[in-house]
Amino acid sequence: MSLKKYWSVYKDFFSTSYSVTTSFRTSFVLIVLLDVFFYLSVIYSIELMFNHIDFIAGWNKNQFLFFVSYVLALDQFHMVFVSPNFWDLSEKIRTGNFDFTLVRPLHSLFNSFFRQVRVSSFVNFPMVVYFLYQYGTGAQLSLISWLLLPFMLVLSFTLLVILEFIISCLMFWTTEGNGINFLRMQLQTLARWPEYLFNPAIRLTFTLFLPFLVIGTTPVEILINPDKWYLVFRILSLIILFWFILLWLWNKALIKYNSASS
Amino acid sequence: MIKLMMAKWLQTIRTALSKHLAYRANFLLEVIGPVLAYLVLYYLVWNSIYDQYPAGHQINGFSQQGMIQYQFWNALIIIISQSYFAYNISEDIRLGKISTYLIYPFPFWSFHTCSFLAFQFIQLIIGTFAYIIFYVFDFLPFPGWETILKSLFYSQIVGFFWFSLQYTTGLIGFWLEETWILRVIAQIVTRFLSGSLIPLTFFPETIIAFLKFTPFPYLSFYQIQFFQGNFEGFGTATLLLCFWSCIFWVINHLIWNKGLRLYTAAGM
Repeated sequence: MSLKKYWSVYKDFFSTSYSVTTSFRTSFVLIVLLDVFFYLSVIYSIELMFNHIDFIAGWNKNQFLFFVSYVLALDQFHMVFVSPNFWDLSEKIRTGNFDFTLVRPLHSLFNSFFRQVRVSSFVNFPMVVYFLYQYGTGAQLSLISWLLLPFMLVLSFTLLVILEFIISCLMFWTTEGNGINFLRMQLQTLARWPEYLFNPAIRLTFTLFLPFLVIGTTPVEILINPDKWYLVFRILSLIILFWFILLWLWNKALIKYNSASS
Repeated sequence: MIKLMMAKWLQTIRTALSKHLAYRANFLLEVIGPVLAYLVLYYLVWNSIYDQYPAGHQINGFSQQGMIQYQFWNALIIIISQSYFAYNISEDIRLGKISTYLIYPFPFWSFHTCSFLAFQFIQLIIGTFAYIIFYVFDFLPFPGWETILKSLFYSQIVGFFWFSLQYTTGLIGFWLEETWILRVIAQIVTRFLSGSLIPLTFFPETIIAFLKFTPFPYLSFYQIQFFQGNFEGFGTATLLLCFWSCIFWVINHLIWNKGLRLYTAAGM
């Protein structure tokens, strides 16, 4: 199936998700509120910490808050485009409804992780853009950094979702997948902190074997200091490597799948 | 009559125990995993922050050891008093399962309270093991039996309040398709305003003064103080949480009565 065809299917996914989201208006408003509370609690916690300290991981207040805004922007993309699908997959595997994903003429990865779009979270994009602008200006980002920002966000988001898809494959072995989803969320939380905060063993584990710490730290390092542009290759190579690992593991997971309904 | 009631409660607690532990790996990942992950993360973060300064440096009155102990006590109290999530309540409502409870001589709230009690029992055992490990590896001191028992008593009040709050979010399932959003909002707001993310002493004075009228600081910050042997405000905290729990139970009663009128018994 061509890329064009996938795009047309995705537009239909988006349109049905939009209809569902707008049908449940209270849920729509609550999800917006949920994001607002979350973002404010994270930003304000860091602000409070910086009232008593000067640096975290070698970054000053504005640089660190720019880093936090960057990972919140990633979180926003995550909430909109993929987040609900992880919980859906868990239920589908448990109930056997994953059978329907397998019989559709689409790649099962695409059908599993892009079916639902949380349209309500779009509303909060201006808030995240404001944080990025506010703290990016404070961190004195150069023009080239501002231009690179969208590209970096796309790279980070790609690496994040590939790693999360890999973690989600474990659901096929545990059957009850909520625990795996909580594990995935903890690893996502880890990505919200700079890699320089951690000791060598943890850094090695989470920059090489499960590179969650690369997702936020490396792009922000490049944006704060564009002389480190060569670090882009670190992210690109990880994306390529883990993409192949994902394809291999997904195929293994499909073999492991045992339909509960058949 | 009382004997019969007791037998029903005990049997339901036993059933709930086996239900909670049916998928053990999942239970550990879902309930214990997040707490331990947060603990490890905050332990490393605060250590790294303190390592920037000369030994003995204090941040807002907290020494490095004091802050690390705060984080460990915090993890323990989350395990023993704030881990329960009423996932099933809204599902029971949405899928029409509460019809059963309307016929059985065992009310809906009793069933879920039994589930909570079974969960608390498991969490107390896990909390005890966690404390022993923290103590053996010198992360936490032994504060004395009196302090432990008094604080554990308080933790059960916090646990009951947490359950009441969770029960309310579950009952909103009469009106709302996805109650998990309310549950997560409650969790985010509570973690932040209770001093679980960072100690309340980092907050501005005016906000702390305001928070004292709400249940939030009594859920984490005060509870940690009690485990550390500082019982200042113990009576007020206990009374306030009991008061808020009663308020929530009245609200739950009203929501239940109003919700039942809307209940369509889906699937019947």
